[in-house]
Amino acid sequence: MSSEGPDDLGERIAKAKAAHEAREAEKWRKADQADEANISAGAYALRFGIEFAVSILVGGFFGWLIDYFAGTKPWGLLIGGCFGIAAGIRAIMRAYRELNAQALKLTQGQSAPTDGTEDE
Amino acid sequence: MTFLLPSVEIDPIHQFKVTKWLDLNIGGVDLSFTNASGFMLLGVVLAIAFFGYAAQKGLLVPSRLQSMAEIGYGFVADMVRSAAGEEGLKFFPFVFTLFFFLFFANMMGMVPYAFTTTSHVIVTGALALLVISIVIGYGFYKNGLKFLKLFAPSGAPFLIYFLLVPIEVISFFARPLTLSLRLFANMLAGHIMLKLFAGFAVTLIGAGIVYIPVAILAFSMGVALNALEFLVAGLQAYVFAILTCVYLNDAMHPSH
Repeated sequence: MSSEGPDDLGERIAKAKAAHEAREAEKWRKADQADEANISAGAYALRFGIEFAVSILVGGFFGWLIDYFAGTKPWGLLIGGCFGIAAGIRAIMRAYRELNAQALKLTQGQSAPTDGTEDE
Repeated sequence: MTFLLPSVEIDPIHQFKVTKWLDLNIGGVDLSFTNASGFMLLGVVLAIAFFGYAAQKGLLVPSRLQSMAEIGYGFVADMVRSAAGEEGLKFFPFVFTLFFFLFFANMMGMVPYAFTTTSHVIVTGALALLVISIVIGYGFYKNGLKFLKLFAPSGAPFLIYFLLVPIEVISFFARPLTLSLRLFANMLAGHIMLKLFAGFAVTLIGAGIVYIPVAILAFSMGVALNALEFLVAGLQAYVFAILTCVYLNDAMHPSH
């Protein structure tokens, strides 16, 4: 041990430094990824409120049009509105499925490098 | 104290007023050149000038400006590729133009005294209609009547279709509306908030020395909102563009 002397120490410092830098870089990369995920999550979140409300409006409007031409006064609007609510919920369900798939991909993508560093 | 200041009138809606710069009336149709048209034109000119100047030299090792333009290009290309696949890249010029038109319009709106064109539903509505007509046109051109499969996803029991088809039709027609309303509402509400908080600060200062601490609070809120509005300006352009890609993907592959 002692025969290796200062050379060994310098080597060890360099090694520790490199490991530390790699760790830091990894941390930054992860933070970047999280930021990106947050922004796209925000973009997704902005979609739904309006999508839901507009679906009901469009459904109601189609129902009202049918009413107007067929003379079935309140029923078209009511049934159309119900279909609109269904469409709104369906849009949210679809988005939820999309997001789930995306989250799955993201966690799988992230788990691979962490496994690698744990092994080292 | 108060009479030293001119009476401050806060009219947060005033900034959205369309004024005529050039009166044009062709064949009974009002085609006046308004401040809205002016700022749209300015946005287009700025975007063309920026990309033209940045790409002028075409260096192998890009300059700062060139690398900004390249990042913008790569950003939109990645967006199209991830939402509409490699096949969707034929719509890249359209999405790129759309994104940067909206981006420049939104960002110019953040400049004081500038006019925010995207805060008018007629502008965003026209863009959304353009997007949806391209989706419908290309969908029928590419898939023929199979495009209608978009409204009837396969693999459902027969009776369910009576429920499913109206629902799908409604959600399809809700798209252009959501696309335009989201952008318009975000820009309108954001700019009203900015004006309100800034105006609030001025009014409070005018109300007397006692209110200055509150005015500072209102002003700092305005500063924070300003930062948020910059985020919203970028984000809404991004949302508009990526949803365009998603809808174009539907036009290319209606039976998902």
